[in-house]
Amino acid sequence: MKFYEILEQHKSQIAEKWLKAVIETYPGDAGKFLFENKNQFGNPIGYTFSKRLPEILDELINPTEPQKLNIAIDDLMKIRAVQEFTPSEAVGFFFLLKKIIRKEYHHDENAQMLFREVLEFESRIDQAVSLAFDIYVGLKEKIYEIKAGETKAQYGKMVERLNKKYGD
Amino acid sequence: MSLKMKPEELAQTISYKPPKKHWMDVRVEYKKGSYNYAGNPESLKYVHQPNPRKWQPYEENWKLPENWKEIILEGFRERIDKFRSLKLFMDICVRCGACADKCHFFIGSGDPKNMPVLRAELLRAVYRKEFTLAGKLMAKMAGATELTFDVLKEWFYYFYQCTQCRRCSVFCPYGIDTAEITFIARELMNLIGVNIDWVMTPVANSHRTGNHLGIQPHGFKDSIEFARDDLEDLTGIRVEIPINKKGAEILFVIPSADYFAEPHYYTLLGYMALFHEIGLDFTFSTYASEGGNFGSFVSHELMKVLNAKIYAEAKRLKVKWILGGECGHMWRILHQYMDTLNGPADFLEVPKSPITRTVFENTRSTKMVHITEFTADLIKNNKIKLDKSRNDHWHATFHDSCNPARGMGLLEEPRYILKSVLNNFTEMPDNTIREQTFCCGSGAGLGTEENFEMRMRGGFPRANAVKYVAENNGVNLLTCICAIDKATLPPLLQYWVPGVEVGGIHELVGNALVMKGENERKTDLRNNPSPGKEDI
Repeated sequence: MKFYEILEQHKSQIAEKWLKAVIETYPGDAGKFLFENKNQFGNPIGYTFSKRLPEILDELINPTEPQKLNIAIDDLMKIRAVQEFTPSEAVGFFFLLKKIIRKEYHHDENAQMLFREVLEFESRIDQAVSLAFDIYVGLKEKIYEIKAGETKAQYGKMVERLNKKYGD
Repeated sequence: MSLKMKPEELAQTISYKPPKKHWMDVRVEYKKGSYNYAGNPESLKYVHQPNPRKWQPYEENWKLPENWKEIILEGFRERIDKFRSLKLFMDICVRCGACADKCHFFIGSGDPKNMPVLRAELLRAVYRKEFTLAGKLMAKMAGATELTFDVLKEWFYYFYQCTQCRRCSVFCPYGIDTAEITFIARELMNLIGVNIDWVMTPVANSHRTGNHLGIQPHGFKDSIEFARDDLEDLTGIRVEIPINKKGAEILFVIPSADYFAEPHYYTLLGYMALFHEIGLDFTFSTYASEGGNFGSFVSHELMKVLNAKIYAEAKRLKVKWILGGECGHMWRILHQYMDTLNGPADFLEVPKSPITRTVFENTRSTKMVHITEFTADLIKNNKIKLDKSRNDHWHATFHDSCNPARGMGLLEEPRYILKSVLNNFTEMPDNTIREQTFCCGSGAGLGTEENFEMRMRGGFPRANAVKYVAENNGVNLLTCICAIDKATLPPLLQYWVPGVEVGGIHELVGNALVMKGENERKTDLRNNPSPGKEDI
């Protein structure tokens, strides 16, 4: 059996473990709520992660179109980029996937034999991290743009009035 | 850690988990983007508030008075005696957890101390230690904490991460109003000069000139006249805008952002068009030139001081009753406090619409009517002509602003108006609207630039519901009736749901309103081409 087949077979368990590990990056009692409440609107963080992580995993195992990965990662990074995480913590949840796979499947006899595939899969994760980092930086830039626009809108009509009255 | 570990063993030792400590032992860290700057000493002096000095929350030395603990504990004791509700709220919480997952800041941040129960517990723990026998004798077991500088830092951090929206209180089986707990916590901190600038400077400005930016009477007049010119360019009709007109029938009070900020301004144009069309005898006041009451974000006394201008101006201008615009917390203060703060308004008459003769019985005591109650009544009685198709470029949803919705129960009127002026309307999911509405995440003084990341977290549940109707139903406009919403929802949506705009209800009324003698409307009030007029 090839390594990707092993992953494919255990996909849903891996995704579940990954989700649990990501949720554990939130402090204390929050995890229980974020993990257990499945309401799309009552628990948007939990919902978004439980929807997007399996999609990302799926794309990492069977890449179809890059845009899919992009959309899924963007959704997650939007959340992490404004929460109390350092930049490395914000993107670091991909490494948790490596950890899970190493722990569970490296010891699989077949996986040991298919070392090249293992390395290849891990580099796909690394690529996803790079993508997440680009998105993270893009979002931070966007935040600064929005902030500048907000200040302008707050007094927008006043400035317009002054310009009209006293010239540009 | 041994260097002889194999790489895969080493990998297993990396911890991504936050420290496992008792929640009361984790010290607060002030991180950029999640706190507000401290109150400007000049503003504090202007309204005679204690301990004016330069300081910032991220600094180690907050320059507190030497006896700051005594001041706070004495203030606490005084308020427990004064407010029976406070004593009750301190004693009766059984930590059932019903509120825990209802706060937008918790839902959007995953920080357990933003669970309303734990936020309130920051105050309760000190209450137990100082004012209960069990707390004095067995501190840890009773969940009691001594008031220390670290505790104060947590108070400041977390009570300025509560927008006083009261969503949690809807779910509390005991009816504990966490917003009132936040009121008190902020009031206690203010006793030693611990407050934020986006509350204190607007308070000082509002006290001086009547509005939070400190715009003086001639500036107010100029702004309103500018809007009149704009409305004339858009409709061809020059309207009368009375300011400080003695003997007018109605005093009209709006949030000040309506005359200088976007998209608020288009709502102002809408009011003006409507009042002209029905020939309303009203007046603006240059001193009651702000409905918003930043005082309510820091203390009962300052709330009272700033609220006083509304009745005082009504008295000075000898009006019969008061009409209020699309403002948020002005309405909660009116509904819950104004009567006892500055009433009774026995010099005014029970509001009666001069157009429909409807008597607004619900305002018999305060004498102040919400603009959506007034307009809904006009529409219900067929007093205005509306062309819904002029809003066909919008597919709207409605954000129940926390204060009008939960603070005064105004749920139906805005929807009734929207459905009368607009063809495309879709509600957001049930657990995100009406009494359960999610806050914008920036109310109660938190709508600052420096607090931006925190606002994005707090507003995530709201934006998430908007995203749902934007993606599934094509919604492109989020309407609301609060000036803070109109200021802070646009950046929120630019971040989470780009492409959805924010607008007021009376902006859409102004678009749809068919005015006698108007020019053909080629644009909407934003000066964007009207539907079907894109090529003109």
